This record gives sequence, structure tokens and C-alpha cells, in this order.
Amino acid sequence: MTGGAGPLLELDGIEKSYAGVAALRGARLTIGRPGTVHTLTGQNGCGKSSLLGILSGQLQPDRGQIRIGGRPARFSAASDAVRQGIAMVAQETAVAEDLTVAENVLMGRMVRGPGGIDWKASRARARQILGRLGLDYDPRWIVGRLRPDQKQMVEIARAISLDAKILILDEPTSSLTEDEVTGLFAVIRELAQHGVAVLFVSHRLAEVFEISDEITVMRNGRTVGTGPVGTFTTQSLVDAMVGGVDLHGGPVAATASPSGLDRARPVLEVRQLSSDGAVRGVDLRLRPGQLVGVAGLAGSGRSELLEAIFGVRPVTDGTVVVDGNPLRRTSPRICIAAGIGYVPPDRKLQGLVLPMSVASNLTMVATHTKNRLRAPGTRGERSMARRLADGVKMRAASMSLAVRSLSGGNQQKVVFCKWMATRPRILLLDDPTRGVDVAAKADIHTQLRQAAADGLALLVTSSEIPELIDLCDEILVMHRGAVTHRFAKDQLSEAKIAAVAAGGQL
Amino acid sequence: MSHIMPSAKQGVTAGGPPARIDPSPGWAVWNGTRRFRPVLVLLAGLVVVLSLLEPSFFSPVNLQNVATSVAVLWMVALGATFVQLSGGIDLSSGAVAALAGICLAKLVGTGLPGPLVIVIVIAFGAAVGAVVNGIPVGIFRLNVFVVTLASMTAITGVVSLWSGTQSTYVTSPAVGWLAISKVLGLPMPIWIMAAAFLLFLYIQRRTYFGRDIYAVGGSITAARLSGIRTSRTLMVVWAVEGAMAALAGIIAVGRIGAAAPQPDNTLPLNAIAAILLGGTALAGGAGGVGGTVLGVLFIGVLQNGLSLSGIPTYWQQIVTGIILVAAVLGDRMQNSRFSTRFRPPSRTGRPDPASVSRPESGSMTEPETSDPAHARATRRGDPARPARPYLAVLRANPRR
Repeated sequence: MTGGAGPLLELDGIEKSYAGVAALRGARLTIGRPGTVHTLTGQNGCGKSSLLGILSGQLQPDRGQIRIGGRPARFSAASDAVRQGIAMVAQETAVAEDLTVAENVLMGRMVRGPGGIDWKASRARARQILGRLGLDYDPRWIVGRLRPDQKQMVEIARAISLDAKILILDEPTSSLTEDEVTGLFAVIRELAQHGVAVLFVSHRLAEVFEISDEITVMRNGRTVGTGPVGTFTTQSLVDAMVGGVDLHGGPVAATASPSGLDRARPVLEVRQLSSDGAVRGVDLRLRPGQLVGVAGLAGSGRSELLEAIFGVRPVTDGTVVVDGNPLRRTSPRICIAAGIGYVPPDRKLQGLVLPMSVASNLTMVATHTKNRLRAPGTRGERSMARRLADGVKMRAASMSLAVRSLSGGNQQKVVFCKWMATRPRILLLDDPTRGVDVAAKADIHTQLRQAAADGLALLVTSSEIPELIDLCDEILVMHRGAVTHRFAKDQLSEAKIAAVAAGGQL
Repeated sequence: MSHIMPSAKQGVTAGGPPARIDPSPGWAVWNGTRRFRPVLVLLAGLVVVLSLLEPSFFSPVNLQNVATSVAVLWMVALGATFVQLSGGIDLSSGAVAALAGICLAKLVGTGLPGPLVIVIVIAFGAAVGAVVNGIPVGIFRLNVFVVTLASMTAITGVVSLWSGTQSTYVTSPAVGWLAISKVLGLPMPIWIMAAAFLLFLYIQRRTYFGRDIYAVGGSITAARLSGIRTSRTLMVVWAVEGAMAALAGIIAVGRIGAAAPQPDNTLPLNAIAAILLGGTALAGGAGGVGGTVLGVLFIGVLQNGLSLSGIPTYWQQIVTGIILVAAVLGDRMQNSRFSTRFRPPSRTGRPDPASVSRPESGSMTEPETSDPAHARATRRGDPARPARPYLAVLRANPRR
């Protein structure tokens, strides 16, 4: 399609700095032919986002060349990139929630008739575009009512309707369940068949190997590896991403012996807990030093269970018992006072106050009971913040930076540490490793195991079953708000858990 | 976990913003002025120009005039800065100030001692702020724009009703002392302004309450999940704003000698202008009273300079308007430079899809989320969105 003039897309020697700090220092990316699925991967903060910004015309490179079909191209705005056939679907969906599928797909390009917009023709056109993705959506559906993955499809359809030759998908799987990922991959393959080159961004290794034809790995703003998928192994890919550091090298503190666990009194007991149909009659016990996982599909009630325990959502029935004392009602304050901590799923909206400093965020929970007219930032508090920051490996000077400026993995560590500062006895963690890079993930796992070894009781959810199997002593599986199965350490199997999470029987 | 993080060398700034860190205290102070540097430069430039063009500008009498002319705006803007830091916006302060003025006139008419009357009126203002704005915004989490628009409208009506649309003369020595007397050679309002500013600065920087205001404005969900009493914080913020509006109303009455039957509803708008000029984010969570007073002074000096030069004062409005847009634009560019990741401007930071419960697969007939409580909890936490601050006003339910 490019007439053999050169590779479909070529980025070479791209450099970009923000106020003197280099984000990209010679990044390369080549997509040779139409119909290729090319994965761009790397840890958080490696420069992927900046490279995508440059590729989609939202950022201007300081140096370097973009060539399309061998001819140099310059994008001074996103619309330039679109005109050159490059469309991007960002990580967070950008759809008009109140409009229909047809209006979203054809945004601004509805079919016109003599009396204004020809709705019938527009719908037919939208249906045809969705059909190319193998999707049978009714163009009259209101987009706001769709599931996140369906909204994503609508965005992909919009990109396709712009006759994109190169479609960029920025971490499209980060908020999808496994079934939804399968659906997305089917669509990606369909597009590739039709000659669309897909630039897929992800740092989930399994996905990378499943979908890619080619892989480009970035680290510290440079391209450190690129080639067909066959030239990579899991190990070599991880090595390239993290720079040859052995991820599994750290000796992990042994957790308390199971027999000791059985004898310990439960520190948290949840009896017949229900919340508006999202959580239905859940019983669970958590002993000190125990790491219990909650598996389930999105919407199964796993997040809602933690929210109900922590008092974020109304409890309609049942009790939460801490140390044998039932809480009369639950609210975040009451739960914190009882020794419960909660790491919410969304660190940016729920876990952190982004404009505030790292130090303020770290000490926020630990100081919430102080007299409000007293002065913060006392010496004790500063040393506490410094001690916590050590745990996150942050230099003292970074403490006054806005927490917004940290990378995702470091932000998540700040959330974790701000709860550890309160010395909780129970910690609820809702998908604590979502969207963090491989190294930060390993780091968080180590911290969780360490915390358990120190006698903390942890209740963890995750959308990745292998992660839970790796971490937990026991896994509860939820389906439609109820705990349907419990697996002890020696019975853990990904296949079984996945089957019952999907509503199957053993 | 010690050796596992390979990026520890670059530390936390990997992929982040410029991290030119110099731990000296001087740097910290200078860095702290970042948000209001533009207005600082504007104000200094204006003072220099005026002192060259109008020798009378620097006369002590004129400088006192400038200060006292902005006394009312100063008080209201201080309270409104806390409101805005907490993620709100106040349109009702002019009406509350007028209501306090009428209340003052009526109480003085009953013969109560002046100082007592002043205390009662300030308490009355705090109560009005807490009840009329604080409860709907802080407890029921209604949209702050709508709530204060409604209270502005309703209180304006109450003012007319209570005053009988007649000016009421107030002859109280205590009120006169507050508004026009001189202490140590300076007009009393200047002392009050200085005291109020220092008090606000202290609360903002040196108390946990001040920190709560930033937390609530930055992300109310994160604040609540951290155990902060968000409703109480908002109630207190609105009570403080009511008290400051009442104090402004008392000073206004004292200067004119009568309680006006009509509120000055441009007062809240000028306060918002001064706050934005001073670099406080419209979405809340960043900024402070230091910038606000510079913004107020800028408006006052501009007004004064134009009248000294014989230029019609409507130029002050035109210039303020233009500079306001420039200030917000500057804020936006600065923020986009400082955010970790660029975001196309169409992002509105909706709740993370995965944290909102979804209907079962394929069911198109269910409402988008089966539990409003959770959806609300998630939406409340929208982070400050400096990239499109005006949305905070236009969105149906911005941050509550």
C-alpha cells in the first residue's frame, strides 16, 4: 500500500525533554507493513506515553524524524496525524456518553441529506463500520450505558471510520476482564486482516506474546529492543524492560506457618455482609499474617465487598467484626480507628490527592485524628514522612513534589505507605498492582508478603488470577455478589478459579 | 525489596516533571510563589508605571485610599479563597454582605451595644453561610454553582424584603470605629485587613484544617477515604466565608453610614477574579490567600491609577477581564507542563471504568450503574482538572 517506498511508519532518533528533563533520548519505532500488530512495551515512565504523543501529533519532538512510507512527515496537531492515517484510542475512553453509538462513531461526519442529517443513512453507515470489526451493535444504543470494553470498541470504530492506516491502542486492556480482552484481540486480528497496522501498548507479558507480530521495548527513553515476536522470550523481554535485573531474585520472608495461622484468632470477621445486591451474604475470616485473595470478574462484587467492609458503600445487612467487637456501623473513620486500612482501586481519584505533596499524602491518614487547629509538619511528622519515603525509595528532596508528578508505580507505593503509617492490623487492597510496571509490581508483592509476615491480615483483590495464586494463602471466588467457592493454598489452580469466577461449577 | 527496583536511580522522577530540587529554604520560598508570580510581576509593573506617570500615586493619602477602597473585596476574597481551595465557588457573598448590613442596621436600631452587635452580625453571617450554602454543598453534595446562585437570588430578595427597599441609616460609634477611624495613623480597615490576612495565612499553612481544605479540594474521595471529615471541613469553610462576607458588609455600612437595600452582586465576581489572578486553581486544591491579596491589590491599584490618570473606570473592567483570561491561560499551560502525562483536552477524568460496576455482559437494558452510591463516591473523587478549569463550573455536578 505504501508502494514499497519505505516502511509504513518510521520514527527515528526521537528526542524530547520537558524543561530540561529528557523523556525520550533517541527512541526508534518501525512498523514495516500494513496489517502488522506491533507491540510497544516498557515500564511506566520509560517514555511510551511521550512517544505516542509525538506519533499522534499531540507533542512535538525536539529532534528526530517521522517518516510515513519513506517520506518525512511533520505533525503539528492531532488532526495532522489523523490526515496521515494515524488514529489513537487513548487509555481512558473519550466518548460522548449521552449520544448514540452512531453519533459517536461518525462524530462530526454524519451523513447529510436534504433536510439536515440523514439519520437512517448515518445509522446504516455506522452499522457497516461496526460490521467491519465483527460487532453487532445497534447504532441507536446510548454509549453511556455500554460496558467499558464496548465503549472502547466504539472508539476503535470511530478511528476506523477515519480510514486510519495505523491504529494506536494505548493500554487498551488495562481495564478489561479476560473475556473482554479476548473480544478485543479478535477485533485487532480482524483489523490486521483488513490491512490496518495496529500499534498495541501493553505491559502484560502474556498479552504481548499472544497478539503481537513485532515488539519494540523501551527503557529510559530509548528503544532497547525491537524485532519479530519469535525473537523474544518472556525472560528476554523482561530483561529488556527492566535492564537485566533479576525480578525473582529477592529472598521472600517466609509467611507464618499454616498451623500457626489456624490457631490465631481472626482479627477480621465478616458475617452475612450484604450491600444493595452488589454484595450478598458474604462470610469471611481473616487471621493475622494471612493473605486472602478475592477473585472474580469485574462486577462480581469483589471491589464492592471491600468497599462495604470499609464503609464506603452502605451495608444493608450483616456485620463486620474486628477483634471480636462488632462495628455498630461502618465508615472510613470508624474502620481506620478499628485498625482497617483500604487501598482503593483507583489511586488517582481515590487513593491520592494529586496536587498535594508526597509528604502530605504520606501523612494524611496517620494525622487524620489530630486536632484540626494544630500545626502539621512538626518534626515527628517530618521524620515519619521521611521514614515512609525510605520505604518507597524516594529521596528526601522529592517529598515536597506534587504526588501527581510521580510515575504510576511510585504513586501506588505512596498509597500503600500512607496506610502502613497508621500501623493497621487489617489491610484491604483492591487491585493494588493495576497499571503498574513489572518491577513496581514485584516490589509491591514483596511489601505485601513482608507485611503479612509481620502479622498484618491482608485481603487482596486482583483481576489477574495468577497474581492471586502467587500471593495468597487462600482465595475466595465471587460471582454475582456472593462468595461461591473457597480455595485453600494447596488447591489453587488458575483453571478452576477462572471457571468458577465465570459462574461455572467444579 | 531493596534491589528490585531498577529505576530507583532516577528515583521518583522517571518520566515525571522537571525535578530541579534544591533543598535550601530560599528555594522553598521562591518555589512557593510559583502560582502567583504572574500577578506579582503585573502588580509590580503597574506600581512602577504609576509612580513614573502619576507622582501623586505614592503619596501616603493615596496609598491609604487604595487600601481602604479594596477593604470590602479583600475580606470577601479571603473567605472565598478557602471556598475555592475546597473545590467550590461562591456567588452569594455580595448578598450575604448586604443581608449582614441590614441585620446590623436593625440591631443598632434596637439599642444594643455596638461591639455586641458587630459580634452578633459576624456570627449571623457565619450561620447564614453554614446553613444556606454549607449544608447543601457539604452534606448533600449539591452542585456548588447552583446552590450559591440560588442563595444569591433568594438572599437578594430577603434583603429587599427586610429593608423595605429603603436605605437604613446607621449611626453607631462602634461601626464607625471599625470602618473609618484611624489607629496609629492608619485607617482601621487596613489593620483589620492585615490581621485577617495573617490569620488566613496561618490557618492555610499551619493547621491541619488548612491542609484538609486542600485535600478536599484536590480529591474529596481520597480525603474521605483517608478519614478526613469532608462534610465538616466544607461546613466550616462556608461558615468562615459567611463570617467574612458579614465583616465586609459591616465595613461597607460603616463607610457609607447606611445599609443599602440592594446587594452588590459584582462583589463575588470581583472576588473570583482576584482569586484566579492570584493563581488559585478554579477546580480547587492548589493556590492560596497569598496570591489572592495580590489579586485584590492589583484590581485596587489599577482602579486607582486609572482614576488618577483621568481614564474612565470601565477600562479597569476591560483590563481586568483580559488579564483574567491571560492568567487562567497561563495556569493551564503551566499545569499541562507539570502533569506527568499529556492528555488530549477532551479528557474529562470520568470515573475509572473498571471501578464502576458494570451491567452483566450484553444486557443493554440495565441502567449504566446499578448502584448510585458507588458511582457517586467514585465521581466525587474527580481530581482537580487544571487543564480545563472552566468545566468545573459548567459540568452538571462537578466535584461533589
